[in-house]
Amino acid sequence: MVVRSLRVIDRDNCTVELRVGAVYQMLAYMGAIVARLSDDDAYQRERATIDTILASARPHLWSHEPACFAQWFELEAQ
Amino acid sequence: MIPLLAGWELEQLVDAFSLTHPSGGARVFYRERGGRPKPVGVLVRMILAGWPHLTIKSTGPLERLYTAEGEAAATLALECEDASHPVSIVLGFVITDELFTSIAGVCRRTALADEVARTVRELVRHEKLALGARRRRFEYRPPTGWQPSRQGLVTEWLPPGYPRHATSLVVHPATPHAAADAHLDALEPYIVSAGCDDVTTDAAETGTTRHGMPFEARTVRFRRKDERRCARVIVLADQRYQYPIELRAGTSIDDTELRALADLVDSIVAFEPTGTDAFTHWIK
Repeated sequence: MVVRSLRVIDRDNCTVELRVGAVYQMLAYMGAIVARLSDDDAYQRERATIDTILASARPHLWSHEPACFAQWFELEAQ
Repeated sequence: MIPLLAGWELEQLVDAFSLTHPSGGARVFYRERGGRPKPVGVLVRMILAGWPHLTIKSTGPLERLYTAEGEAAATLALECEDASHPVSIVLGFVITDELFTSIAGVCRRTALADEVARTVRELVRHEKLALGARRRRFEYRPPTGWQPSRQGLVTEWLPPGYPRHATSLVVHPATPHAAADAHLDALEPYIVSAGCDDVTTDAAETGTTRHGMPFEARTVRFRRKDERRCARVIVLADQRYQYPIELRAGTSIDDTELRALADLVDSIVAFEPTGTDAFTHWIK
C-alpha cells in the first residue's frame, strides 16, 4: 500500500479539497481508495477512520486464511 | 479427545468440557474441534474475551510443539490478575488445515501453577484427533516479497515482477508415501496431459537439505502453446511423507530462481515422527 495526499486548490491558492489516496498492487492488478475531505481539520478529525479503512483493503486474490501453514502460529494478526 | 485426569472433576459445558483440580484451585477447559482454524493470536483474544474481569500482566513466549500424532500445536502462558489476585493461564492449541482444538488452564493458586502448565502441555501433546496420514500443508519460509495465490492445499508464490517475470514457486501439500507417486515418476504424463508436448525430463538428482532431509530433484522441459518452458521439481521425504515443491520458469531457470527454490526447500519443517506415550502415569 502506498499512501499519498494531495490538495486541490483554486486559482487563489485556497484549498478546495484534500484527497488522501492509497494505491495497492497485487500481481497484475492495481486498486485504489481515495478519501475526499473539505480541509485539514476534517482530515485530522477522521484520520483514524480513514487509516483503518485504507489498511483494511484486501485484494480478492488473497485467501482469508493464511497462505503458509506457519502463519497459523503467529500471535499478531497480519 | 484428551485423557481424563485422575482425581480431576469432569463437567460438561455447552461446547466444551472442564476438568477441575481436586483442590478446586485450578480448572482446565477443553474444546475439541472448535471450528475452522484461526491464527493463534486470534484464538487467544477470543478466549480471553470470555474472561473480561481478567487483567493481563505478562505474556510468555509462544511455545511450538507437536502432538504425539504429529499435529502442529502451540502453548502460551499468561500471568493475569483478577481483583488483585494472581491468576496463571496456560493456553494450548492444536491446529490442522481444517480445524482447531483449544485447551485453557486457569490456575488461581500459585503453588499449582507449574503443575497446571505441565498438565496443559501434556494434554496438548496427547490430544487425539485421529486424522491419520493425509495430504496436508507443512511449514516453510516463503520467499521474501513474493505474493501467494492459494488454492486448496496448494500455494503458488509469485515474484514481485509477475507476470512479466513469469516464474512461480508452487508448494504442494505433503503427501503420505503410499499415495505419492504423482510427482517425479508420473511427471511427464502429467505435463503431457496438461496440453504440453515435446517433453524431455532430465535424470533425477539426489541430495540432502541443510537440515539433512533427503530429496530427489528433476528438471523437465516442454513446449506449451509454442512457447518453451521448464520446471524443476524437488521432492523431499521423511519416514511418512513426501514434500513436493515445483519451480515453474520460462525457457530456462536462472540463479536467482534456483536460490529462491533452494532457500524455500531448506526452510521446510518436516512433521515430527509419532512419539511414544509417556503420559500414562498421569491418568492413574
